[in-house]
Amino acid sequence: MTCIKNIKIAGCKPNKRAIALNVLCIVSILTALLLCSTSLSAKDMPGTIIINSSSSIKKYRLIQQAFEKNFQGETLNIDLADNNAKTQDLETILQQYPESVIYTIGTPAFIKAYKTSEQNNIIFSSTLNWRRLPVAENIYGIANEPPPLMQLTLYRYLFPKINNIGVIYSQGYNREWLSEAMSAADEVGLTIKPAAIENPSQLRKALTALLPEVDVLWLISDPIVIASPESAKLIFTQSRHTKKPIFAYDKSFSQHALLIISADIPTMGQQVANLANQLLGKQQAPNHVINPAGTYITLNIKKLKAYQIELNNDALDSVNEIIE
Amino acid sequence: MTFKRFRRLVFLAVLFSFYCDIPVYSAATEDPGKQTIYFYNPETNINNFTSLKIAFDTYLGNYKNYNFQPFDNKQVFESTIINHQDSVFILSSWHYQFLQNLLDIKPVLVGLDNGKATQRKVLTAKKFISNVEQLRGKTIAVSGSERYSRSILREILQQSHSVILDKLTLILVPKDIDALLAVGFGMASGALTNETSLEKLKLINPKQYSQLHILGVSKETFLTIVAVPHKNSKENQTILDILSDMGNTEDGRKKLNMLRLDGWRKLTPSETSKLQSVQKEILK
Repeated sequence: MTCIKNIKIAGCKPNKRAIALNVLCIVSILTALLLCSTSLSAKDMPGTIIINSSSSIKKYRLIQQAFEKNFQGETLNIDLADNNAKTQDLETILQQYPESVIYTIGTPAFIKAYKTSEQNNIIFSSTLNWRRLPVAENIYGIANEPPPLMQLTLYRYLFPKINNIGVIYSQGYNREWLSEAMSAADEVGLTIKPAAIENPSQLRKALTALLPEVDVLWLISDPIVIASPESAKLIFTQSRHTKKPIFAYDKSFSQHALLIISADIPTMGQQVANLANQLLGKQQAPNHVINPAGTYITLNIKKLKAYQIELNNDALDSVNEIIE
Repeated sequence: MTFKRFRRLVFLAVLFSFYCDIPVYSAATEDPGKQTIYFYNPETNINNFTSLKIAFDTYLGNYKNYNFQPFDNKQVFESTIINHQDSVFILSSWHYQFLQNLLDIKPVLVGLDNGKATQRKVLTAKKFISNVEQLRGKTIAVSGSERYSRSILREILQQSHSVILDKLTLILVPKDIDALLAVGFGMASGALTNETSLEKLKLINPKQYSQLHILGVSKETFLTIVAVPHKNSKENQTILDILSDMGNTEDGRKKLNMLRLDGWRKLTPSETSKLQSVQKEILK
């Protein structure tokens, strides 16, 4: 360095040793900078490593934003859809931070984290049928749908004249859910009429038998019931022909369903952040899997008029979105 | 004139023309030429602004070129209305008490819910939580903004329990019924809601209702209000007349139901004075 300085000021000739020393200095500085960019000191350990299956999916992006807004600490974000160095080297990253909580958004992210880490606490969200995920002491999460009682209470609130609700389901996927739903229905003075199917070919027969017996069809997330686009089309066609409205769980059905109740995404993001804060603060979480505390309600006024369903107008302030 | 100088002049001329043509965009993205009614309510988290705007624009479109502009962000709302002080505002009565320091406006109409112009907030919990002390460090589900909710909780908890407020985690849910059910399901230890919402739960789910009890109640406050500039215009008066009439038609009432109201009435002079007396609450 002295010689370089001298070159500027006094024009002295550098010797080979000085040059080698200077090169060594520069290489050391660059190496240090490189290390800093790829690793954090213990002091900078991310409280949560967020693994998003794909932040290009709007609901995944929204829940991550809600989480980041409410989480008290640093995060390290990984988007599996990016397929960059971070996603490829996930195992190394997770090994560096065994104390961090891993928050996974979407099933692919959960599977990746579950296979890669044994020691981190993992919180999942945005997965369908969470009951099919592996259960372990270090696994936590939030269900993707409001519990049946919450939905049934809202059905009762919005449509006081509806009493009998039909549900087509498969035992393999939704036996427990149905049991919970039937107890919940009793609590709010509703009746659930179930129809079980074992494979998609039984759907038409089940719809033909069930629809005349009920006031409304409750479409639930079941891969045997909605096995294909053709199954969905059959359900919508039959319900239209029999003039029976549909309650559904996802906005993708908004043109066909009278009412959609889904979990409120910003609330879920908050809840996951609170859970992460608890786990990092070494507090015991009351439950491994929590229910979403908020609901997002979409009402299709066209269907309301077409099926002449009586709506409790006092409940309109609880509706997030009206489709006309 | 050299080519270089000519080129510089052309550049400046183009820049100037762009400057002159740049429109003034507000967060409201309102239609020019239309009178706007501005709305913001921190007492609710429900995100139904698109539906609200469509519903009210459609209703007001029956009369003239009026524009209804809801906001979901307090800062954006306040920074927008600063430049539109001659307009009509639909506000939370709580928020109005702070806004009157910012704007030269007066309240003229108050919302009604089943004939009542006032409301009370209640803090409820499951029956095994017998007093507010047991809420220390717990989660409370609220359907309003964090600032508004903490203000009401401060009032309910009073000085003797104000320390508890700092230790509470608030979870913001879209609506009152979500907050009450969150307690039932154990997602929260308490809920802050309207008293009327608790009464509705009694009708739709008596079992959930029977598991809850009230730990504290706020003072009576006015429901949503309509405010106009002190120097009110003829145009604003026309809007006030249209709003006043909403409760007299089925269509108008349905629009008001989206605001948890079913009508409007004029505020009495004593009610106006009460609203205009500033509450000196220090908010965190």
